[in-house]
Amino acid sequence: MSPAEASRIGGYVLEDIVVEHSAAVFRLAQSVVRDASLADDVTQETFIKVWKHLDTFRGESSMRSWVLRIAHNQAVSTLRKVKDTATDPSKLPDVENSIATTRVVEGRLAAGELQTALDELDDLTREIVVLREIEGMSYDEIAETLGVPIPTVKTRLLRARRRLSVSLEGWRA
Amino acid sequence: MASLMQRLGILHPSRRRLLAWLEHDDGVASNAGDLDAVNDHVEQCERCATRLEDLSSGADEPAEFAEELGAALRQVYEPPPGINDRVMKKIDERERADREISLFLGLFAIATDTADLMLPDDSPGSNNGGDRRNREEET
Repeated sequence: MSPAEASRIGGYVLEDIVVEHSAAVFRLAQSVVRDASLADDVTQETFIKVWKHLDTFRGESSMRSWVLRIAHNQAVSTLRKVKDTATDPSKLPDVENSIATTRVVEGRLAAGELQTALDELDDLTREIVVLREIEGMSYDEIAETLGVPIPTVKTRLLRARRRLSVSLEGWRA
Repeated sequence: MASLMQRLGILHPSRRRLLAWLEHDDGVASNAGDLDAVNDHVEQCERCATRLEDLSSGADEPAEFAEELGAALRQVYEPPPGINDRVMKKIDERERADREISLFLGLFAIATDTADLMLPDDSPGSNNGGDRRNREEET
């Protein structure tokens, strides 16, 4: 067993935290950086930070909110760095290539169609959509995780749902 | 006056303006910047955010919409296989690198500690007696 697998910090087993939250961290990261490879990097760096700062976690928020807040900050910072350093547009995260656009959702909707609708949303709105519709977080939790007011969460979600519902119409048919 | 209050975000938008904001209907909005003003207001106002939810609830979203959307999004944002293993491996690597750095820095500390022990208190470069000597010279 490696040191990291065995590490227990403040009563928490690191590997348990990774197993429980890695998928949510990856999804949140991908909603910001829009590139699977970059999202993978963000996920790894997020858990490095979790490991280094786990002893400072006081339980004032849920572990999920705490981890996802770190993921949000890491993703935003990574995206900023990529935008700052990439002068060549081809080096920016390529949305078209990040997802297999031919993948079919439930046999009725190409993922590319939904991806296009998601791309039309801003980064914050996409994060809110992911946290609410996939992770099932409450408005309060989302607001706390992303550091925005609750009305912002509600209104962004409302508009996003209306826009995404158009993309899902073909799926319902 | 009402226009000024609206611009300042003091007055809550009317039902008509909230519906226009929901529909992105510029024609209904009173002026070009009105939707932006409504947007700025509702993103900060709990009451109007709740009113918007009420206005839109059940209008065009079937009950299964949330489930469908969640399922579709899970497919789009599906994590790649082996992500947990990669994360744990990365942490192991970082942990090992940290240990090696601290060992390396520890070697430097041994050298300076040894020098402090071997050099006499008043020798140049020694930290042991310099301050005391300076104080004695001042008096």
